[in-house]
Amino acid sequence: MAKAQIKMFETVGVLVVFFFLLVVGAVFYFNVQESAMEKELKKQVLLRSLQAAQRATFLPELDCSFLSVTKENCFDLRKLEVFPDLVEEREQDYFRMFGYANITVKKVFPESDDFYLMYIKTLDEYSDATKSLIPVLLYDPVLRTYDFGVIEVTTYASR
Amino acid sequence: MNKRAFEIQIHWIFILIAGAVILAFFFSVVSKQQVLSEQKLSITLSYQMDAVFAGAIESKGTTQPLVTPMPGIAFSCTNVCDCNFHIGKKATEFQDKLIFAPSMIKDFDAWAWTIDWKLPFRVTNFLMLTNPRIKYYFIHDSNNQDSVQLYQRLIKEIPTEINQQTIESSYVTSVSHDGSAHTRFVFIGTSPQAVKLHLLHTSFEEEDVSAVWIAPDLSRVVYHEKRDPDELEFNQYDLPLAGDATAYASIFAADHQMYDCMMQRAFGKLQSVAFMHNERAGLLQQEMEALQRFDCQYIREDLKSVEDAARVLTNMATLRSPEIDEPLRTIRNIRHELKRQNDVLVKQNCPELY
Repeated sequence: MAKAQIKMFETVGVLVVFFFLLVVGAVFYFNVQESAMEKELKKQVLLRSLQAAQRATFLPELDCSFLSVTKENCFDLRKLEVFPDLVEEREQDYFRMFGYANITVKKVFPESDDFYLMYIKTLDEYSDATKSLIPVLLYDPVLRTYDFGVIEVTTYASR
Repeated sequence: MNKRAFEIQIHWIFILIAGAVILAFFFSVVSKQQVLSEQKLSITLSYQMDAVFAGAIESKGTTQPLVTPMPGIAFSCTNVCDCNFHIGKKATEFQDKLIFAPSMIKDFDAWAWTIDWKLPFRVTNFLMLTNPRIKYYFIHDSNNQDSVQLYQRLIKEIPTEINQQTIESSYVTSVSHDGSAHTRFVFIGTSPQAVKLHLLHTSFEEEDVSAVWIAPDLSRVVYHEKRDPDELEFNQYDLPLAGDATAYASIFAADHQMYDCMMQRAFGKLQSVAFMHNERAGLLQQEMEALQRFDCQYIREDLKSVEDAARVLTNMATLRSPEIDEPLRTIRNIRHELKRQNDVLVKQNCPELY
């Protein structure tokens, strides 16, 4: 074999090793990036879930007022009863607000099995589901009493 | 050339090509990474700003500073009411948020002002955004009592943090451009003839300037928007108002398109809220009758009328002026009646209407 050919093989060998190291480095870097992206995605799903819960607690459609003063984080029980009818009528508006999510309100004190389905839009196949719970007041306008409840928001992330 | 010299040349050419390929590879990786990180930053900032807006819109009656990201935030609504804010190339939908903002916020932090829209029950919250790059001139006519009263009523609610100045309508033509990125003249309750924008100081010719005229009876607003960026010629757009909150919204909206789109959504919300109050009133009526409380009477027709009027107004972009006037009149008139009915129910110790 000529000397030049040996030199050429040496150069090619150096290049092969160089590219091999480069590929190994790139694979490692992209794996790290991917796991960082997954973490970020999870964070966003959690943020979306909290936002949906926050939106739900501030819905003017459900707020309760006494002597024209609106109480924060409070749902009027009579409005909760009729809210699913509104969601059915204006499905697109609420989908824009909550997306794929299930929102329910449960009465927790005084102890009770009462619960209200506010919005149900489940995703059949999802990669992640995040649940957020926010305490709320439940106002009975006839008895003029306040109970404690919890709004449970489950949001879904598509695959 | 002998064989050895030829081999050396080929060897160097090979090294040059390999070097160029390696360099090209690195350049492409670096440029891809740059684009990716810019996109990632835009997406992260958009999510964060969306969360900030969502939080701000729920704190009614407050004015708060918001940190503006470096690339700035652009706000816009299309003809089909596709409303987005843009950070870099990332567009994020307003979704259910009713935002009235200038077309661009950058360089300085923004001020966010939230107010609730009541008719007379709370319908929704409006989020108004601005920053010191935008100058507002509030103009009234001291010879016109309606204008003075309306000016005093509106100005007391407007946050002092915004870049504003009050002037007499007769002084508008003597105001010169002060370097603001956008100038908005707000004519409050003056005669429509007072809006002489073609006579503005020549320093405004090539600047971003617009005006809104608010009718003395708060029934409508007229937007004056530049026809040509380099000339003082303006197109006019006449749109309805429904209460003080909508007047503030019209002042802070970038253009008539944004105001129109946001108001269509606001009327959609009014329709939903009126529906809820109406259905609730029906339930309460049944319960009160069961409790032999026949003095508690819930008149649902008015709530139904508001719901129907709001339904018409959600499509106001496609309607002509007379078709809009009727439902607007209904909403304006019924709000007082609803308040009266609610007061009666309170006095009779009945559950309230709203």
